[in-house]
Amino acid sequence: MLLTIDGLAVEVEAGTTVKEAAQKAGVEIPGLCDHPLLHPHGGCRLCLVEVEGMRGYPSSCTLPASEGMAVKTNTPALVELRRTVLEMLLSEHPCICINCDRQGECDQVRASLRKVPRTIGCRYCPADGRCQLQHTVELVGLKRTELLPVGLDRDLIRSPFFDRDPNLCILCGRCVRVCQDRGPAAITFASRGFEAGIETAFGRPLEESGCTFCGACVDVCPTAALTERSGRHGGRAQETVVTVCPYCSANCSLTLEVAGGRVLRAAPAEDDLCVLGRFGSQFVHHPDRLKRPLLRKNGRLVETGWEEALAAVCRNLESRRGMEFALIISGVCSNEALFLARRLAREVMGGRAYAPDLPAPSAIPWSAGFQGPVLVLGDPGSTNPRLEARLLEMGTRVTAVTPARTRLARAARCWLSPRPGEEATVLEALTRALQDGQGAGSQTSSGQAWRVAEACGVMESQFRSALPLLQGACLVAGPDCPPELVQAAERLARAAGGELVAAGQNCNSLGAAALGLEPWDWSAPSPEIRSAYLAGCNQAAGHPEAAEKLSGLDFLVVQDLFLTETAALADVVLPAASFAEIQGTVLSPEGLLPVRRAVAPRGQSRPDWQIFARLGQMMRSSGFEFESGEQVTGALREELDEKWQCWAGRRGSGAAGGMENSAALSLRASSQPTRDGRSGSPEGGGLTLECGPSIYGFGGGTRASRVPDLKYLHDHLSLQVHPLDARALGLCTGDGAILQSSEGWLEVRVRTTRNVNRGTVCLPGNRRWNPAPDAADGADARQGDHDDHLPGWRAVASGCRVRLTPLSEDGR
Amino acid sequence: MKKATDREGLEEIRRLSEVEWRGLFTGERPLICVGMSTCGISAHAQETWDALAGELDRLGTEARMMRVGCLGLCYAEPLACIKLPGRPLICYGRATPEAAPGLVQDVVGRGNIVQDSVLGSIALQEAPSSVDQPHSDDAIPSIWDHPMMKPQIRIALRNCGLVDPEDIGHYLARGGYRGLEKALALSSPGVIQEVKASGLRGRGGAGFPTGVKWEFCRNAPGEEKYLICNADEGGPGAFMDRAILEGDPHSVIEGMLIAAYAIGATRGFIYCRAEYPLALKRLETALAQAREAGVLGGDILGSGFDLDISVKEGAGAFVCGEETALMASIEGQRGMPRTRPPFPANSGLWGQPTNINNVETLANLPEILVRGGSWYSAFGMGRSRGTKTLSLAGVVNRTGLIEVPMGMTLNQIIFDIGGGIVGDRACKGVLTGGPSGGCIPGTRLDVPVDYESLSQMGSIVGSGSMIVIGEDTCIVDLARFFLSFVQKESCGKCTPCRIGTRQMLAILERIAGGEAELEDLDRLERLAVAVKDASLCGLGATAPNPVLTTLRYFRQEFEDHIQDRRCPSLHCSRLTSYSIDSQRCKGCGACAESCPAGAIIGQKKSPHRIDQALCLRCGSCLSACPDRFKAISQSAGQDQPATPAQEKGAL
Ligand SMILES: Cc1cc2nc3c(=O)[nH]c(=O)nc-3n(C[C@H](O)[C@H](O)[C@H](O)COP(=O)(O)O)c2cc1C
Ligand code: SF4
Ligand code: SF4
Ligand code: SF4
Ligand code: FES
Repeated sequence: MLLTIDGLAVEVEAGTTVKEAAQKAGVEIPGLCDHPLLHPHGGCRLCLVEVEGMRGYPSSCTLPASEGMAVKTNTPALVELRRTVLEMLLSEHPCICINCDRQGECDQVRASLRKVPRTIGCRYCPADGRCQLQHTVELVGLKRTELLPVGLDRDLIRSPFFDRDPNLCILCGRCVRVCQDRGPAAITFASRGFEAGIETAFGRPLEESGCTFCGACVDVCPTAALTERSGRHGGRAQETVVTVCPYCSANCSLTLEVAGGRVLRAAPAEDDLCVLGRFGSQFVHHPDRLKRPLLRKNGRLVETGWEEALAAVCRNLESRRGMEFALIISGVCSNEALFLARRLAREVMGGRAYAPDLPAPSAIPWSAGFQGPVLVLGDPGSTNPRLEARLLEMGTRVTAVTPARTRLARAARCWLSPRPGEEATVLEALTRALQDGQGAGSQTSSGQAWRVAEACGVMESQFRSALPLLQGACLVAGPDCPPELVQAAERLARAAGGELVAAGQNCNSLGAAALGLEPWDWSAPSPEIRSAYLAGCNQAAGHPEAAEKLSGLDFLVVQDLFLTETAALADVVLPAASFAEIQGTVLSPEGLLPVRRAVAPRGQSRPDWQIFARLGQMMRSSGFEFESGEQVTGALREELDEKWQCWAGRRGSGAAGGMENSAALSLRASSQPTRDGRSGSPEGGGLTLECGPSIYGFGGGTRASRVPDLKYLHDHLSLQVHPLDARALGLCTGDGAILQSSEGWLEVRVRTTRNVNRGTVCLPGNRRWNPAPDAADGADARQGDHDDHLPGWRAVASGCRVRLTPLSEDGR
Repeated sequence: MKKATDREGLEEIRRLSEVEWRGLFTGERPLICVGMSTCGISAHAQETWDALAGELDRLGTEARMMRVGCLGLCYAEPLACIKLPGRPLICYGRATPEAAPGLVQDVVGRGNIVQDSVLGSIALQEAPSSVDQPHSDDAIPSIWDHPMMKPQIRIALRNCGLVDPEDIGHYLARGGYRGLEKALALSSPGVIQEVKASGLRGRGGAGFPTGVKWEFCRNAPGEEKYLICNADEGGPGAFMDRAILEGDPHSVIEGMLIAAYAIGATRGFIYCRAEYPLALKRLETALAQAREAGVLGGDILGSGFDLDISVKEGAGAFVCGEETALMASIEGQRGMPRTRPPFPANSGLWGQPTNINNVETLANLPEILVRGGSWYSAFGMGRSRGTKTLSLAGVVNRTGLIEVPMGMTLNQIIFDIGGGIVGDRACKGVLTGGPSGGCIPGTRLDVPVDYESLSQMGSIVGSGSMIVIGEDTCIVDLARFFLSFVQKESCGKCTPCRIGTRQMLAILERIAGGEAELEDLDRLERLAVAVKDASLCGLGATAPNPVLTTLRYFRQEFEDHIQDRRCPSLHCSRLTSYSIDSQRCKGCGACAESCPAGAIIGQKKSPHRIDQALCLRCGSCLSACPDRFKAISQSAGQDQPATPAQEKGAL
């Protein structure tokens, strides 16, 4: 449609607002509440225009353009109106600098001015220079304000990662809208009149209001009302580097803002980010980063040079070639690192290369373009947040199978909520119902399908309504799904004529799978190994078996960013460079993505691939002569492309093979005591502990625990207790309690929820037991001091028996 | 009651109701009606009821007692109407709990008429609306000849105060639901045509032609359409919607049925203030009875038209009366207005075409349908047709709720109906339209009350609230009072309303405090215009009206405050001063004792005086000075010219 803006003709599509049309015509209309990514709000009233034939002054950001409209943006009345409205905004904003006679003269001292704890004027403000209010003042041409300052003196509201300074808020509502669009809707307008402001429900802390700390609100805020704490005084970026988030397999793109050789902050590039991508990069500059190689001498790890360390590795590995050697490397490393690690393990050592974080072997990678119905298992929100967001967008196509009331479960078209641990049984019942063609009434070895599901806690009506949603469905299993569930999903996918899609845990888990690394699982009977090389995985932290086995090895090399629990057991520790310090690639479901170097490696740390290449050369093998990361990429590209084609070919092809024989489908009704044998009663002290993943302690927590606010959030996760158990113990949500096992104790906060079964308690994240008082003497023998290598701590792991005692008022 | 499935069925129910209704007036037992709406109850009508019942009990007389709504004669509340067999129903005013036993003894016991408190007789059985109320030939003048009633045309209020709002039978007996039958016999466009012909405009404030609004909604594409009754009446001083909901809920329900039929809505909502518990209760009762009678629900009277109505309690904010905020509130969101377009007629509640009408608008509809659009449009003036309910408050002798044809002048309303100003003083002005309205000066009471005339004066008809002010009201304080109301009620969404009103308030406070300069008046005007023009919704757009109109008509008083530092009505205490008349002062010292600032000096038994520099202007001395001396007075102006006493003291 055609319209004119200040006489300029402009052609726009239906649905365009007048403000957008003006922009297209090259006329900038001021406005502070409008944002290209958000639906219009019409609150600031700075974008008012006049339209021929229309009464009053409509706000152009909310006004749909229509054919033949004649819009004026700059009449004297509008100029006057806009100035007055802007003056009003400024009258409650601490902006003395706008009225200052000596504007600009304070430039010499500005950097330190900005460090005052309170913003009283622009030069004191962390947003100085990028504040849109400043820009608007310029645009409107306001030189001076004559209104009385009327701002209220409100307290700063601190939360993890960012602060809210209500005194700087112009109530544009952008943060409210973005939070609503992203799902949590943790904040809202509150109060009326001049006291109106943005608050959480009941003014509770953000941590208790469903906030996921994705930082979107900070990114859309036009002023410094919401400011990220870490970058607050870091100044402006000198350089930006677009790279890939180093955490989960959603592979979001992000922009690293760099100044003075440091990463100031990570901002969204093309994709929205989750808390890890947005705020999780701080570990790069953590003081505990390994800066030099460590070598065990006389039972202690001591710093040494690369030559000595690598020589020690070569010496020890050369004498241990063969199948008793294993190299375990995770998908946090780039393809280049994985590729050379595999070569080192197989061709030089004659052993094998494993990865602990491989997605299910039969699965194909997730594709955002998937069009059909979707069935989601587990809680992607706790492992792959942006994958969850993309699934949420599919809304009505989604069926969720999870005991927990996750965000996806709430948004899904259909939610089957079996009791925890019964998910696989429900999937088997669905499989049978689809195979038999008899629907919910299909016979299984233990009765009709819906009855089996019902015994697991799924209502018949829900079971029935899920069936038609499964034809050709794509089944999504995240890294939190146990193997038996993934297997059940695979069978269901086949029966439904759909496919199993697995999301890997780490940013390059897919690369690890594509490069043919073998799965590693400590709880499975593993091959007898005597020596190992672990890169990018802190296996000792979450697996008690692993810690034991690792400390029993003849020789252990660990390559990582920090002195992890695993590294503490090693004979040689090699410092690796982080994602922000390397050049390379990761494999995403959409193809190869570049990882770009933003800053120099910390201390003497080196990119993983360089370490492997150097070792390969030192062990006098060919195939390790690479000068740069690009050369390695060139060497592996073809292999990855081929694998990629193969996956792409399978995508959408439906059932991969024939039916599996029905013996595999024997259903286990929930009344059978398999599980109940493990759970117990709270009074008897016999509760079973389950550990679930938490985004705040991503993976083993190596990086996340080095980001202070992530650690804070992780350490404050509550213990989930069934309401009836809690009642029996006299506990309710928010109460403190002591969790005790044979390994030690922990102080926890309790949250009651039916997401756990009776007799079971669930603690998300990775924790360690505090040593029991009587065993305390062995406790501080942690790092290095012990020659038998046995760690002095115990990881909190699933399956152990625990006792829960309420904390008394006085704390114990 | 048997549910009516067609028109004959309803006619059957109506016949039975009529028999019962007539029985009320022909029976052998006395009939006593007490006005028990919120206004009556706050004037202790419940206690009156108890006292009446107690006294009847004591006398051993069996009488029929009935709760009715508000007749509008609020100044004379509580009202009790008593009918003895064979005699007319006589309405008594000021039937306080104390007076009640005497009333029973006199009227019921002895068959007397208590002349002092008689307001008039009501010939109820043949009175469908006041347009054709028979005027009494009895010795007792008809209530419709009462000066407050006589100029009224009661259409929306036709049943208020006359029927038991909790009995659908009364409504039916008085011709209720005939409008619905009439509508169902017409096509939807036919109904819209009739309403257009009536010239009815929205009574909720904006005055948009109702028929036109319906047509938009009817023509909007959409699977489902909604009808909302706006019963959120939140402005101070307005209570007409409450009176209708409490006194005659079925008229609103019938109006909704007609409107829903016209626009093709299948669901109705009544959004009613949570602060109106009695209205909510009576609405629920009425809805249940309407469902039971078959005039609400599925396939109404066999016409194939379905409607169900649910009641939503308001969120307790003035802004929730604004239509888009109201819809957000029904949807469970914060009641915050949004910009238009899209208009509710195209995209309203849950994105569906929605029509929203005010309680009074709806209550008019049944009569319009029954008697025809041209009948209704015969009342009124210019483009404002029909009648409007007005709540009359302030310093008039007869306060209450009235309904008059549009175009009646303020003079008629204040003097003929309201009985003039208390104490026969002058009228300083009238605030029409509540906090969103403006103040018409006492010199312009010739202005007719219709949409166009009032808007020319810078004010609005609004909900119909009329607050009459006398000479002792300070204009600055009046503007400040109304502005601070809207200021607090601003939803906070848009800048001009949230901050602009705050700034305006700050200036008014400075004026009242004697700290303003003349330029502040220009600043005030500039802000007021910006708030009016730039605000998102009607709340902000009308918020400056009281300020703008008072600036227009009472600028001198503002200037007095600023330049002379004096408040002529002695309200802004900082702009007044206290002085002691040395002739009358006997030196008792009571004032000096009461003064918290120690500003009063003087020897016992000799005249005292006030040190103006120390005086806080709290007024303690004024009340401390014994009545027999009355030596202290308050006068306008900050600096008291030196009195002879002071000069003497200075010597
Ligand atoms: C701040 C504000 C408050 C309002 N409050 C009410 C109210 O309490 N009752 C009402 O009927 N209309 C109220 N309105 C008007 C409504 O927005 C709307 O115009 C009206 O309900 C439409 O019905 P009508 O066409 O029958 O008048 C209010 C408007 C504004 C701007
Ligand atoms: S905090 Fe920022 S984004 Fe949110 S309303 Fe205030 S100014 Fe707008
Ligand atoms: S969703 Fe995954 S890839 Fe995206 S920002 Fe979060 S952790 Fe990084
Ligand atoms: S004018 Fe006032 S009430 Fe209306 S949207 Fe703006 S702030 Fe809210
Ligand atoms: S940008 Fe249009 S009102 Fe704020």
